[in-house]
Amino acid sequence: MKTRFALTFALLLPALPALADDQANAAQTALLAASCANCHGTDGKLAGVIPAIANRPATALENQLMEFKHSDSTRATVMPRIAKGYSDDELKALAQYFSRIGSAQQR
Amino acid sequence: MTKSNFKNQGLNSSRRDLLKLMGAASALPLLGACSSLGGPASKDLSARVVVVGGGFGGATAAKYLKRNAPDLDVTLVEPNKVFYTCPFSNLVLAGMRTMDSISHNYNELRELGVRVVHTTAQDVDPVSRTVSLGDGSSIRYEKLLLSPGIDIRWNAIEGYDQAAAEQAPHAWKAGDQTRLLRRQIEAMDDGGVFVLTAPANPFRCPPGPYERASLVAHYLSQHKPRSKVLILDAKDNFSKQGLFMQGWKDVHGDRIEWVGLSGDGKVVRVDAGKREVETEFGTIHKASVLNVVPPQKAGFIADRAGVTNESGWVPVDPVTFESTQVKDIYVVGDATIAAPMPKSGFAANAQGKVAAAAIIAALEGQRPLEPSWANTCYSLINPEYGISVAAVYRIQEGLIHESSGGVSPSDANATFRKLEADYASGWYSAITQDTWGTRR
Amino acid sequence: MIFRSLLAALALMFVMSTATADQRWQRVEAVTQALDNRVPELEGLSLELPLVAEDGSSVSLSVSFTGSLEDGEHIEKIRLFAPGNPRPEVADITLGPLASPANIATRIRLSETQQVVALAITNQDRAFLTTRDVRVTVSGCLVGGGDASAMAMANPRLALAGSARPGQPVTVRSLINHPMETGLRPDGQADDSIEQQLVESLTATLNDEPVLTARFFTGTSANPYLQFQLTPEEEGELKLAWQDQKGEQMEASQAIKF
Repeated sequence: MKTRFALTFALLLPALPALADDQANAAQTALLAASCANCHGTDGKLAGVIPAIANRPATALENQLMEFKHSDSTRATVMPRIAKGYSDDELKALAQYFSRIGSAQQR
Repeated sequence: MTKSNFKNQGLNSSRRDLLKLMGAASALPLLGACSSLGGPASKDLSARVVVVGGGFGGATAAKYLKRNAPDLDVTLVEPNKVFYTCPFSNLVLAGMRTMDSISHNYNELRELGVRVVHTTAQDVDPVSRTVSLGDGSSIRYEKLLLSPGIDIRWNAIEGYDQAAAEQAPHAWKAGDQTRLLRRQIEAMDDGGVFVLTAPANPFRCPPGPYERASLVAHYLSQHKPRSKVLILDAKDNFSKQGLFMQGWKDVHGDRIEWVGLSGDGKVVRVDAGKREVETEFGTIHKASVLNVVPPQKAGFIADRAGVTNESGWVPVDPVTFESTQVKDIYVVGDATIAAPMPKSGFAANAQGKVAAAAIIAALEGQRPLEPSWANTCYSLINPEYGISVAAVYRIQEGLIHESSGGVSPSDANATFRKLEADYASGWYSAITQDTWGTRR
Repeated sequence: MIFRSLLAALALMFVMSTATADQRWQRVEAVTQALDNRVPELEGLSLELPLVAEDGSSVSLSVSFTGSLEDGEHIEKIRLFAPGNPRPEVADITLGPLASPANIATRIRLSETQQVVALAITNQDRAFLTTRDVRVTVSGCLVGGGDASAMAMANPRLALAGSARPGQPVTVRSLINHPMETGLRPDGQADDSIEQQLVESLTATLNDEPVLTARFFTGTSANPYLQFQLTPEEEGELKLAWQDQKGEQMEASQAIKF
């Protein structure tokens, strides 16, 4: 019975609409970017064995992400497997997002 | 019956069933319960959010709730002042790290303005929206986020109860159990056998038992070179199996033996006093050190809140991680049914962020954002040899799906394996910084 | 008032979803053929499977009869179906009076999320049917290591869980190593398949009296596992014999002593 309710629940869940306004888009990108913090630190600012990604030029970040996603010859480890899970537009948005995070900002 | 009496006795089953109905009903647009979707936004960002459990899921959620909505009144309930992580506790067992280096505290969360209460959560009453605490007080919530972790299913394997765990540790919750197992490994005679029993799916940290076997073997190779590791497994397939087995052959020779389900690897009885286990088909294995990784279920507070189903785990709405059974209770981490996402600290952290965003959206009267999660699990074969599995998860047709991912290449060279071993420690520094703010 | 109509709406939806959920088996030809115009009772048979299976190549299943039977009536056949698999048949188990109570556990293959069907037929021709939905997902951390096992039976295993007593049920477990090739999996060559090779049957006898016969199909996992209840009336030798598709046989035996 519980299973059936769960099923009913999933079926009736309204489809997620495209978010229109910029504020919602910003929140959406921030949520997408939050996954990056697990290896690159909060806001992508932790520099260590794994490099920081905050406050780097957007083009550099974007090129790197595109190479991870599209190049088979990359010598990278986990990033090619991860980058393929995002659309090109999402990767561009992530590059923009991290390029705008100031390195001096409080964590 | 007075109200407080009622609460002390917990929810009776019919009341729980009714709550489940209400929880399910609230999501049905035809009943008009989702009025906030179309109606005017009701911003209530001074609301009280209570987070229970200060592990990867709960601490992350508390932090991101407060970062993203500083006006929220966020309380974190966690009994321990110092939290020891399961990730990297295998390194402690192998003498590669200290307990101190896997300990974390709640100072950053306090600095952010989260009220941290060091006591247990005893019960949840979803009608009065109250959490009863171990110190006798109770706390009301508008939204409750549970990060219950796991509890052991005592006696699911005959003879394995709390008392047995003092002789044959599970060490599947980091802390005293980790210390106990470490002492036993150190005290083991050279030439002994370290026996690890691994459970069927689902359980916390799918590659964990195999990394543990690897690192114990690494320790033994240096300190007790005539000793062996035997894994008795209740399944035939396990996480990163090909990579582990190749790594064992490359690095540990025949020191590690793995017996799967179809080779009679399923343990059905434990005699902790004798350090002996019996398998399904009656084979007795004698251990010098016996490490039982037992069957598990969601942490007990999930049961009290009425969010678990018959599997013992917690079904959640995959978009928000709100319970499908009780409204306004969100659940993250190992306790949830989120497959194909694994029960890992990384996944719990990622789910904590999604649930935090969903809670803020709900309080603002907004639709939930489109969630996405990542997971990367590193495992060490030895300090120089790392392997990984990584994936991205998105919603497809209302369910969580893996949108990309994979394991380390099978033909990688030593440089690649060393790089992944280094990244493992980089990952640990980053995720614990992101979760607790501590620097390790 | 609002609350009451809410409950009524929910109750209605529940009834509707129950009806649609339970009708799905009626569209499975293998199930309707097995029923052969019998109308099954939907209470009495209990089927246990995980709600979410993280490894579809081996999913633990147990089926037991919990309803009531007439005097002299016993469950004679248990049939298992996985209609979402390329072939729906999983296993057919024929039980003699010694294999009581009817309580079977095995490990099955599920190629995708689906509803598993269990059917029981008594010696008085009554049918009981039950279903269970299972979501199949490969966990992100779970990538199986494809191993090439030998195409022959090996390591027959037989054990009692506990001690036998006259007239008391004791759990019997059995396992044999075998890849259970479905004949459906491409072997890497274009349009070519590995030849089907299954363990076809398992026969259990006590002092040469039939206890149980199981037929395994493509839906049974590699290394077929079968657990059943034995209620012995006298001491003797429990013998299990497996036969593969080529006609090869292997045996295992166990003394039953009170």
